Formats: sequence, C-alpha cells, structure tokens
Amino acid sequence: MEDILNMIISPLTGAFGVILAMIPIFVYLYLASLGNSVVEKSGILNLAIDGAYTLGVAVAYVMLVFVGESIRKLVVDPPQGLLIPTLALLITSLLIGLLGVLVAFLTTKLPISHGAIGLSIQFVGYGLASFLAYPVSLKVRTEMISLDTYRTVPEVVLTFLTLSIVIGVLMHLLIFRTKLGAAIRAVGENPAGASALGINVLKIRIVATFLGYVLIGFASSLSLLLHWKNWQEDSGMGYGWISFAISLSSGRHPIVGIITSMIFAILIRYAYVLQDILIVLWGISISPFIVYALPFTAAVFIPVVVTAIPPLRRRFAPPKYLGKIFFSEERSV
Amino acid sequence: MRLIVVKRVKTSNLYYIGIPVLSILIGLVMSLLIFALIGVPPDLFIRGIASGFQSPQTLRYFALLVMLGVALTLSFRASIWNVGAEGQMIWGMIAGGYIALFVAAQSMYVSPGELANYASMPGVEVIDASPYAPVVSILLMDPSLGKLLMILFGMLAGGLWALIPAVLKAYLDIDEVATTLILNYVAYQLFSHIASYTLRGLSVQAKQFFRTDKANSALLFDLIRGTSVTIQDLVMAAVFFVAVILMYGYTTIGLRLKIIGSNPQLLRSVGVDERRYILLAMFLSGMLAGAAGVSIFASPGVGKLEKITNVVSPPTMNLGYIAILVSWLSMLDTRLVPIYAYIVASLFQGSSMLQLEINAISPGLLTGGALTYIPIGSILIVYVVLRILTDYSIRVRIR
Repeated sequence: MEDILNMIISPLTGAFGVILAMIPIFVYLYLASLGNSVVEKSGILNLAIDGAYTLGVAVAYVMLVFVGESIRKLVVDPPQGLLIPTLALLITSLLIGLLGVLVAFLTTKLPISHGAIGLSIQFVGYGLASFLAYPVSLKVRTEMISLDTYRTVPEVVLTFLTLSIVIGVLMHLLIFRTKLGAAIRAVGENPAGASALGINVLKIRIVATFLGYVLIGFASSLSLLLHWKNWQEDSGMGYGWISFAISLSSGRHPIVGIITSMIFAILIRYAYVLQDILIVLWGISISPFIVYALPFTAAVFIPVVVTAIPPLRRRFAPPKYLGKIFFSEERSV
Repeated sequence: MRLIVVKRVKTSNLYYIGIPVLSILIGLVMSLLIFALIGVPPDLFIRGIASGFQSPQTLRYFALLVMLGVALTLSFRASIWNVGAEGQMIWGMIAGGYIALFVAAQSMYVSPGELANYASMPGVEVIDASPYAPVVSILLMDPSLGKLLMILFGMLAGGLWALIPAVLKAYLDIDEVATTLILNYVAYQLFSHIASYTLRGLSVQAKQFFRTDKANSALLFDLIRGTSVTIQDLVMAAVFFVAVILMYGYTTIGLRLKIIGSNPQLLRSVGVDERRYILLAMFLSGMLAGAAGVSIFASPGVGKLEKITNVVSPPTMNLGYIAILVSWLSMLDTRLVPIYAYIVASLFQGSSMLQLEINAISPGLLTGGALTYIPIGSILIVYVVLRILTDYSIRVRIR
C-alpha cells in the first residue's frame, strides 16, 4: 500500500521540487532585468551591468561573512536564519545603488560615451569583485566559517517569488502610471525636450539608475544567498549580460519580463534535465559545457527573434535617446 | 566659482598625447591606492610595474597586443564596438589547433616495442612514452606549410565568429557590444567542449585531464632566444600593422571603412551599401584576432587546447579585453598602436610579476583577476573622462 502511495506522490513532490529549484533563478534574473529596464528607460545605455552584478555577488559574500562575524561577537546567542543574510542583502543593494548614481552622474553631467564608461566600470567591477572577495574566501576555507545563507525551503523561496512579482508590478505602475515614471520615460525619449519642460534630467536619471542598480544589487546578492551559496572567482560573471538580454528581449517592459525571465530560468535549470532526457531516450550525450553555453546562446538569439517580428519590434523599440550623449553647448559641472 | 564645460570650435591636438599618458598615470595611482588599502606596499607596486618595462617576456605580449590593437582599431574606427576579440581568439586557437593536431600532423598509438624505431624516424615525435600505450605524432606535411595553414584557418575561424554579431548589427540593428561580449562566454564553453570531447587526445595526460595531445613541436612557432616571443609573432604583428596602414592610405575599402565610422550617410548617398562594410570591418577584425589566437596556441609553452576551469583566466589571458585599452589609448589611430601596445604589454607583464612577488609575501592576498582588471578598468575610466578634453574645454568661471 505504501509503495503505491509513494508512486502516486513522488511525481508530485518531484514536480514541486522541480519548480522550487527554478524559482531562485527566476527571481534573480527577473529582478536584475527589471533593474536594467528602469535604468535604460531613462536613456542610459547600461553596459556596466555585468560589472555591477559580479561586484554585487562579491560584496554580498563579503558582507555575509562580515555581518555574521560582527553579530556573533555582539550577541551571545546569535539568531539563526533570516537576519544575517537579509542584512547582507540590504547593504549590498544600497552599495550597488550608489554605483548606479555614479554611472548616472558621469553619463549625464559630462559629454562621454555611455558604452565606453559602462565597459570601463564593468572591468573595475570584475577586478574589485575578486579583490574584495578572494581574501575572504580563503579565510572562510581555512577557518571553516559556515555561511548563513538563506535556506532553500518552500517558505523562503515562495516569499522571494511573491516579493519579486510585487516589485515587478510596482515598477510597472511606477513607470507607466506615475508622474515620476512619465518623467523617466520623457528623459529617455527626449532629454532636451524634457529639460525645456522643466524636468531636471540629472535628478530623474539619478533616481532611475539608483532604483535600477538597487534592484541589480538585490538580484546579484540573491543569486549568491539563495542559489549558489558560495563564492568563487567567476561567480556572477555573464549573468549581468543574461539579465541585459532578458530586458532587451522583453522590450524593457516589467510584465513581459516575467515571461522572458521564466524562459531563461528554465533554460539554466533544466538544461541539465534535458541532458538526462536526451541520453536516456536517444542515447545522445551533451557535454556539460554545451549545457552551460545554452543560456548565453539564447541571450544572443532570443533578442534577435523578438526584433525580427515586426509588431514586437515596433512595440519593444528602445527609448529614442538610449545611449546618446545628452549635452548642450555649455554647462557647469 | 564654477567649472564650465564648453565645446571647442576646433578639436584640440594638444591633448592627443597628453590624455593617454595622463590616463595611464592617474589610473595607475588609483590602482596603487586601492591595492595599498589591503597592504600591498606602494614601492613594491611601483617596482613590480616598472620591472615589466625591461622584462624580455614583455615582447610576447607586445606582439600579441599589436595584432589585437590593430584588429580592434579596425572595427572601432568604423564605429563598431567589437569587444569580442576574446571569442575570436578562442576560435583562432581551436582552428589552429585542429590543423596542427589532425591535418598537418596526426597522433597515433604505437606498440611499446616499436617506440624506439618510431622515435628515430624524421618528422615523428614521441608525445607520450607511457609503457603501455605510447603515442607518437607524425608529420603529414611540410611544417612551414602546416604553420601557414594553421594561421590561415585560425584567421578564417576568428573572422567567421565575428560575422555573427556583425550580421546581427548590420541587418537587425542589435547592439554589438552586448552580443560580442556574450558570445565570448559561448566561445569559452565551446572551447572547453571541443578540447575535452571533440579533439580529446590519445595520451595518458590527455585522458586524465580534459585536453588535447600536445602538438608536434615542428609545428610550433620558433622562439627567439632569451624571450618568450616567437619570430612568427613579430612577423605577423609587423605584416598586419603595415597592411592595415596601407589599406587605410591607398585603397577605397580603407577609405570607406574610415567614413562609415564618421559619416555613414555619405556612404549611403554615393550608393554604397554600408551594411557590407560593417560585415567587412568585423570580419577583418576577427581575422586578426584569430591570428593572435593561433599565436597563443603555437607558442612553444602552450601547444595544446585544455578545458577552461575558470572564465576569469582563459587561455587567451584576457588580452582581447586588454587590447581595448591599447586601441583607445592610441586614440583609434593605427599608427600609434605599437607605442601603446608596448606600454600596456609592460604593464601587463609587470602586473603578473607583481602577483608573484605579492604571493611570496602573503599568499592569496590578490588574484590575477584583481591585478589585471583593476588597473585596466581604472585607466579606462580616467581615459574616458579625460577624452572629452579633445572636443570640450573646461573653464573656471568666478562670479
């Protein structure tokens, strides 16, 4: 009797486990792409995203160890579970948000190329990431410090899923239903016109990029705290670009992004399952490298597919002033 | 008192040399301060970096960076931001490696008893002298023809890989910065796949680790005594440099590649399809990067393809990214590429010597990733900000 019961239940719990394993990936990809969308809606070409993401993962790791240690020193009986990772998450989000302010300031206040400054910040981000986190990772290994990451249990994972959808809907309302959102879109479409109407372009862009980068920082921390649970030197590299591609192929629309992020989450998580299915059914073996390359390949070609469809192409068109230098002849710094 | 940014009537040539030099200095000071924070002594940093300028090893990076710098300048001048030189080099390595391992020579098992006979034959090299299944590599063609084929196929492969983002850019208007960068990650993974499955070697080491056999040493490039640079590296760098300068100076193609960056409407109005020139710029750029990839494969210290364990330290040594620095510091002027290639090569070599010294004092303080990316990034940021001085002037206004 018990056997039969197990037979009936196991696929169900299996299916639930399968979905549960996908949610963390969905949450961080979605939030990061949402961040990118907000930044780009304000007309700033966000090529620093991968550096910010990689740096965010490293900062979250450092903060996790640092906050954990300080709390253990201060409190005799440290609280288990949520406090430490949540503190690390919030601090990281704020710090990456400040990086966003720098990006907005440089690209708006000075007549410099968004692409060039974005790429440069990306490289500094890569460098600082291994600069900050590598010594800490050695310490963690030698002193056998246990990391207080989030436990991947249904309650936690579902909370973050709900939170991410709520943030997504709020962002949608912010961009399309509020005055601030209208200002952000105006600044992205035509900063000179917006400026003539009395909108402070710099202020609006700083608000938008700060919000966006807080989301990117939040997402990158979550990818460490909820999914990878540990850091190595290339943690997070490339994931910023995947979020960039998600944002691009969802036309920078918060709600459409849910679907696109889901596709990528499935790709990243279930490529391994696909690998198993192919070998069991047809004896075709795919190497782990190909599996790992799949989401990146998709990141190149899904935007292509989307832009090749004319109605989508029109609806998903980027802001008119995206990446263009906004500069009038004379200006004070 | 306020600082005012004003557009210049004429672009200033005064800053043509000042900006790159100043960016290098300020960027290095920035990195020095960052590293000093965690206890790298400033004098050690300065000595480490300075030692790169006299190291004989620098020449190898110099040759590679001239090739890559010329390659990137070719596309940057056409306003196509090819940051995918890493991936194009990877394909150069794969194609060059394939020719060296399977076309120009062939590895095979021999019976242990006959190993001595094989070893004495001309053109045969013992790859693995294991007592059970020894492996030898047999040359199938003249080694100089083999080397030429390696270079040609490496260039072709790099160029074709570069055509993917070029087609997307030209015909679908998809931003090439993102696609070229993402394709680098794809290339790294495909490289690992090809090295550990498709071209996996026969020798014991190749079976143990995920890699190919070592290539027949007759097919590797010829080292210049006392350095790690090869004759072929220097020849290729010189040939590409001169060829591109001649192309810009004397051919219509060169002229059009220049115009497409500054005034694409002009090209359209004289009836030239500018999309074809986007493809051409990327293809040429990818070809030169592919040649640099072959150079890395055929360097006597390498000679094999091996799984990438960490994308921070690929076999291309991140030179594809570092070359962006060379190209930008040269103000996209091909003629200046060798000068900045030498400076950047010295910095690169200096930083790797610095890493050795720091590891000797306190192991694990700094990784190669931090030591390459922080100085590159700092110099680039300063450069990008200072770059506005050619077109704008900054004045102080007191009111």
